[in-house]
Amino acid sequence: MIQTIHVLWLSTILFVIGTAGVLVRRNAIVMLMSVELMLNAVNLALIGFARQFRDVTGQVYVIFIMTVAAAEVAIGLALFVAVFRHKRTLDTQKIDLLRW
Amino acid sequence: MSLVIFIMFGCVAVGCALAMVFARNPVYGAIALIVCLAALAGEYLLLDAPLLAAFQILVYAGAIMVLYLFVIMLLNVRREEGCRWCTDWRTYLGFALAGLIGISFLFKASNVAHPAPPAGFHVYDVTGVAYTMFTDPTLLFVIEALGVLLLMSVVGAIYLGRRFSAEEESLLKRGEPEASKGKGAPDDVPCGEAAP
Repeated sequence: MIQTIHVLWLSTILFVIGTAGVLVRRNAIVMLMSVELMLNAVNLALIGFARQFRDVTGQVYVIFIMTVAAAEVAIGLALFVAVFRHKRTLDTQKIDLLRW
Repeated sequence: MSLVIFIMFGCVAVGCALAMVFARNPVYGAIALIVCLAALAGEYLLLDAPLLAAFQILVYAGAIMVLYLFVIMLLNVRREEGCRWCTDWRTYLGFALAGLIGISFLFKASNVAHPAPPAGFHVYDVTGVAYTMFTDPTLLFVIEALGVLLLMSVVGAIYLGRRFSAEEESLLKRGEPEASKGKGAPDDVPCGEAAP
């Protein structure tokens, strides 16, 4: 029998891995993939709570999050293609035009 | 029994997530993330959400990750130059911050008493999900907002993906170091070629 706390443990582990990926990696595409992982960790927690409370609203919100993730990926990858066209790199250490 | 399958899927998901973060080649990272998302779809099946499991496979592992792989291969970022991350204090600070977030989450989650979920499976099919989605007025408003968001993202992606005019090129070139200035404009050829 899966308890809600098991779902939360797994969700936390995945969220932490995603956070570490965003903070530590320097490839912009890998950072965006880590954000996807964090979104999925949140989805898992939402589904776990939807199961615990027998309320389907959590699952509806997961569908919304998937939609937002799709929009985010479309914009993010278009930005990266545009950046790569000018900078010839996706290393975030080298894309520092806006840095003070 | 279901807990055993849950832990097995969870081990696959966590292992593939770690492989994604530590992979040197972004293509391998993307493939590891696809396996991770598929394992999460299995978790959704165990947690009474078969519709979302199907969406996870179709939308995430299918559409979104294929888009990632396409862009990785289009830009040909095979290997990162130098180190994946350099072992300086910022890297350690990043790991420490992530660990701190995780510890606080676990602390909070363990402190709240979670009542046991009702026994047995209670599967929500398309009807149940769609009924809630289209009858709750708040959620209906969210759906409208998401439609606008998707439209805006499509327009933005097309705008960003177009070929820049010479005027914009010169504006963008202004901030770059001297080395890349004298080469003329070699930059606008490769990525835009495939576009009609």
